[in-house]
Amino acid sequence: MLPETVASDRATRADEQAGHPVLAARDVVKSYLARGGESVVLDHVDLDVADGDFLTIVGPSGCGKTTMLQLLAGLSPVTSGSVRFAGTVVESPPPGVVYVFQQFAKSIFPWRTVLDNVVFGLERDRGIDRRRRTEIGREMLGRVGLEAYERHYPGQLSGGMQQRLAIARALATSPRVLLMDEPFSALDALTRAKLQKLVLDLWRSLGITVVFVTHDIEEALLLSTRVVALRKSPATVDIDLRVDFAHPRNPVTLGEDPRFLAMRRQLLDSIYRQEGLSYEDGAR
Amino acid sequence: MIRRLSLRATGIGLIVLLVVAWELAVRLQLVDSPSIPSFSASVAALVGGITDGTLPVAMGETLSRVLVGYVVAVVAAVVVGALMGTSRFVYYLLEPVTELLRPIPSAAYIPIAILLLGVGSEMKIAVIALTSFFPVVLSTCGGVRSVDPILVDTGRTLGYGPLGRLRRIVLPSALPETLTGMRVALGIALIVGIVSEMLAGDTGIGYLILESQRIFQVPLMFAGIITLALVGYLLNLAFVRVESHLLRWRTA
Repeated sequence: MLPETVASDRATRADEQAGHPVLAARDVVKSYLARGGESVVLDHVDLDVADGDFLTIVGPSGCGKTTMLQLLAGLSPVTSGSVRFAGTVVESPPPGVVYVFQQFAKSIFPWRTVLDNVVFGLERDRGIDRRRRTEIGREMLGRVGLEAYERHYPGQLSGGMQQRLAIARALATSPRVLLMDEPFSALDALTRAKLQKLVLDLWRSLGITVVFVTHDIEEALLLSTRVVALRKSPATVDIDLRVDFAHPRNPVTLGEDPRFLAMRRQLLDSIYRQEGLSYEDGAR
Repeated sequence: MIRRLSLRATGIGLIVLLVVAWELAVRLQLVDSPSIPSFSASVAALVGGITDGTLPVAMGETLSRVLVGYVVAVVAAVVVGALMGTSRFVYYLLEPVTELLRPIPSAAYIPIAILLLGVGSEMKIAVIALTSFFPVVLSTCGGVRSVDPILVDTGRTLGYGPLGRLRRIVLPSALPETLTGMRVALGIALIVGIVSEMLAGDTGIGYLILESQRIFQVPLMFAGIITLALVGYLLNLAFVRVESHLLRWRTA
């Protein structure tokens, strides 16, 4: 069962859908004052995220993937241009958009039990009493397979379980958009595969929009409905691919699909070129 | 487990040994001063002082001042420490002053306080509060400054404003450091409370100890000191209990 707030959100969403992007970045510039002058991380980037999409941003290291995600989250201000969530300009983190950090272990409150971590975002809402909070918290822990650990402290959990907890905590607030910054890069391959499946299942069953950042091209193609590759200097959108394989996708057979391989090559070419990697084996 | 228990027993054995040595030294007249009472005489004075109410009343006067001053200090220090830890302006405003005042031995504030506030409870509470303020302010400030920014950003993305983040993320995260400062401050508060009574006024266990010595009621003096040892031990024990409950997530 879904938390009611998600269900009612869904209804209003249908009305305003009319093709409007849920997140829209327009002409976004982000620069930092670094030693020796201004360093431009993002240079006039446009990006629309359609409602319900699973959009993944890839690119060479240092191309501004994480920065882009933080601008979309309202965690960091744009230097110029604008970010809009559901039509409203984002100036601070808007309710309805939740960010999951790459260093998830550092984002979990070690002094709170697993259940108290999950309901953290709900404690702000005076309309939700304690009983209802616990109900939603347990429901979310069930969805990520942590129901048996609600009284544990985070220090007692493995890395994969901590990441499940971070995801459950984000989803407990019934967001429309989940932003995930390289969420699985610190996990072993098998745990990563399990969590990829979990996130896909949650995306499909909750009907949320996901914006995902990774440096792993195969992960991007396995998960996403759309992949955007950023390039550095100038830091703009290089490639914008629609990935229309039907869900659920089988990671084993998908990897053999010629269209998958063509997309993979296109994306890898872009990244390798920018990283200055060239292979003189004559392959085209 | 058994090994730990037997180690405990050796420590307690040493205390028993020291007490026996005290008793024997006095009885065999190994101590030069005729006014030093034996341990048994001191315990008799302790029992007498407790039953006639002298010791509980004096200890109560001291403890109430110590606790009031301590609580005021902790509350103020957590607020100021949080401000110093979150605002660069407040930090650079207050850091030099605290660093300058902190090394002054706490008892040295008492003469100034007597001039300003007299010899009564107000003076004592004020000095207790002032001197136990510093360790808590510095430890809280340090704890607040070392909060992981990802923890704070987690609060932002989950919709908390600055006050909500302070209350629910920054202060809880700094709690281990704050408690370390609070433990140091508790010791200081007790010392300053007693020294202030020895220097001014005619109430409290500090005054009782000094006065008993002056009028040659030395067993009562020792009874007062034993009372202080027991109360200090119990206070620390209570503090450690509360601390390990609040920080139970660390050992989990």
